[in-house]
Amino acid sequence: MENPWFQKGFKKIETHYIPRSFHDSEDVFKSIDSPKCSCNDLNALEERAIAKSSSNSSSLKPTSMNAFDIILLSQEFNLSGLFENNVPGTKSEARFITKQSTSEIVSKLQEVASTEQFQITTLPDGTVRMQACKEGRKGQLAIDAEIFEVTPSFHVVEVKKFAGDTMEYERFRDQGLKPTLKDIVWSWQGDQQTTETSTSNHSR
Amino acid sequence: MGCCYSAVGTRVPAREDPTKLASQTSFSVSEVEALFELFKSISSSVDDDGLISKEEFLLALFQNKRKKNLFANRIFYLFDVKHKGVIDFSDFVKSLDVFHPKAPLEDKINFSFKLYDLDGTGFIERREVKLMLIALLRESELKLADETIEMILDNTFSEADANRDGKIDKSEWHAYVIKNPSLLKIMTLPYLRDITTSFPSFVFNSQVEEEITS
Repeated sequence: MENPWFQKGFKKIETHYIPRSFHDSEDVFKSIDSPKCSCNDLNALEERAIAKSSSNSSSLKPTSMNAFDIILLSQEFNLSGLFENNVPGTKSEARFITKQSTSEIVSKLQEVASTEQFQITTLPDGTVRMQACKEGRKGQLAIDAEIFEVTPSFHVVEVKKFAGDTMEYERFRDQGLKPTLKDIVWSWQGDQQTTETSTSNHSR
Repeated sequence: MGCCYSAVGTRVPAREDPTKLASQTSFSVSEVEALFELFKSISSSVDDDGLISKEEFLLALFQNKRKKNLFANRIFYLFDVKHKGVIDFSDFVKSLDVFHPKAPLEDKINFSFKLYDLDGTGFIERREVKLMLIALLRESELKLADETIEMILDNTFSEADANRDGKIDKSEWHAYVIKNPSLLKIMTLPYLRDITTSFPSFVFNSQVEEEITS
């Protein structure tokens, strides 16, 4: 069984955009028995693995998106608004658009991880997974950042909670992730209204 | 149809017998009842008439009835099964049924085809896809060069438009979606499977956050 913690090289995968719900890769992660990670040891391993991969610029190959995949990024397509009694910021999935290259995105995510004391792994499909070293309310918080390429200078990164407490995830996303990513993010979607919508002159 | 009455005087939406609707959809009777709670709250938000107007639909989706958008109009049109300009409870349940995890794939594929066929010609034309793409880019405040947009369209159509006539017909769409299942992602709302446990009726009115695990 492939153990992503110790992967030295990363495979290039040419696939189409497949949302998380179609993946089996979560089981790979769950089956790894690492209750309390020894962060220092694994961090060192990770740094070496990531350093090796970043030097090889084509090592993390994002999945490509077609026109319909892009169209589906639209908030207007999201019917779950009928059910979620929206307060902006309560959705657990968020996306941002960036003009940076894949390796720049990954190194920025590494920066977040080292600041916030998270470990980074890369899953075989190109998803970057960040896992907190500390135990949270519902276990260790883990966040996935899946990178999709539209063109080499237009990437969409989908950020989603993989494990742990939702409130902790939201706090991490808003206070840890977003500020650090500010330099590379063109715009965020998914957890806030766009600037064109009405100002707060309504209430539910 | 049920009768309309209320002690307080507000009209209660007339509705089809929930048992009948349950038998025609993937929902159970209690799930239809739960959907009725949701329907009531949406259909009374602007006019308390037991029907969902386009205004009320947009308000429910986006909390902003003035927001102009391409897709919500199209979705409203498709939910308005009898094309009366309003969505009644039966329309509501039957349309949501397509999004149920147990709904036939065929129904989802057909709905998604009609969704993208903006002008209802029976074909998804390249200019329609371009329109939707541009709408998304505008929504994200992202500018792409026209050549880039054309390139994205070229790549998409070279895969989807099998007979190279510049438009995607139903059978081409069918084949394309089977190869690219992510395109049907929006056609399933996983929590519809257990709507009474995911959304007990009190939740429609409260601020309690539900953790939905999929």
